[in-house]
Amino acid sequence: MNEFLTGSTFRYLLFPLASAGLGVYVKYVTRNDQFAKFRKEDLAVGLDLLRIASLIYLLLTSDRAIALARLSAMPLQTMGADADALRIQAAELSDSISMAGWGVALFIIALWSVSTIVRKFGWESESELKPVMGIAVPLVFGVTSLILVMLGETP
Amino acid sequence: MKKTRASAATALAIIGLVLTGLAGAFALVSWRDLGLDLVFVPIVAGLALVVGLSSRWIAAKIRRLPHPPRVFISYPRDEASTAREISSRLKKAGARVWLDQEQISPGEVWRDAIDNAIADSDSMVTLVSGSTSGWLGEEVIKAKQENVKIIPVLLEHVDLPEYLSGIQFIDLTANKDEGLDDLVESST
Repeated sequence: MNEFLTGSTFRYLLFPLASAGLGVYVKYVTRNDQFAKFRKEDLAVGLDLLRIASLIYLLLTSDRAIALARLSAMPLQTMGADADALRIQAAELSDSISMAGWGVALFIIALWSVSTIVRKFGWESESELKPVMGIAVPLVFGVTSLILVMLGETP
Repeated sequence: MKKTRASAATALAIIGLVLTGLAGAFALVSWRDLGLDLVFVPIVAGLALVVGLSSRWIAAKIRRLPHPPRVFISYPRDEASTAREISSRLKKAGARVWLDQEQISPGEVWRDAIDNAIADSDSMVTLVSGSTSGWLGEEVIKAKQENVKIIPVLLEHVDLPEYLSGIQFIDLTANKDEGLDDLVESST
């Protein structure tokens, strides 16, 4: 089971798809109008996924910073034969943290851009979204962001 | 001035979207040592694109899956209490019932609410009495356009309006209980 949960198929295929599926289901069952049947607008969970990806990215960056702080605090004598490996690990953590600012900026730009595109070009009426600009484009950005965040976390 | 600002914001949004895409591609290239894991990106992105593009078709398929029957009740104002009684019987039988007096909130555009509810219904129960108005006819026409099954229910000894002619009705004037049982059976 652990092998499956840490495997590529789960992390990069099932996890983003299940997140999208769960998002659609939750959106459908929690809406106020329970008489309404399933609508294509229920599939519009792209921006939710993008938001989740950006929050996961922030959490992972905090985890990396904490891991780096722990590594830095380790006395050299206790590292023993693992010293080189730990140094490489610290350098990798430091690298990814140095890129985190740009990552966050990118997520802010993506969230703002996609939401603006949906607002400007995504609606065909007051309550109906266009399949391409309203549903497909945000969905592609949402699931891709989730995968990119998970890829960045690959050990 | 406002228009200029709006188009500038739109242009910036499009530039942002392109930049984000480029940055994503750049990230992929810089992580090329991740090897086969990267194969999942185009697969999942492609799936998301297909789902988005065919969202109308997917929604239509999901709507056809088994679900509790949805019944819209159309009635003349004078028969509001009968409509509530029928609604209660149908709900007990497991149906989801749309009755304007229960479903339309203050401030809501009732015409839109009614049109949406008819489109979401599996069947429409149309109560017919001496006070039936032309408005019910518009609801019946909308139901026909949306391929919603129409079940006329005769509450008094009157002729069926023309827009309901040719549709088998349920007569509550002879035996109300038996008629209501028939109605529950036909609409659930």
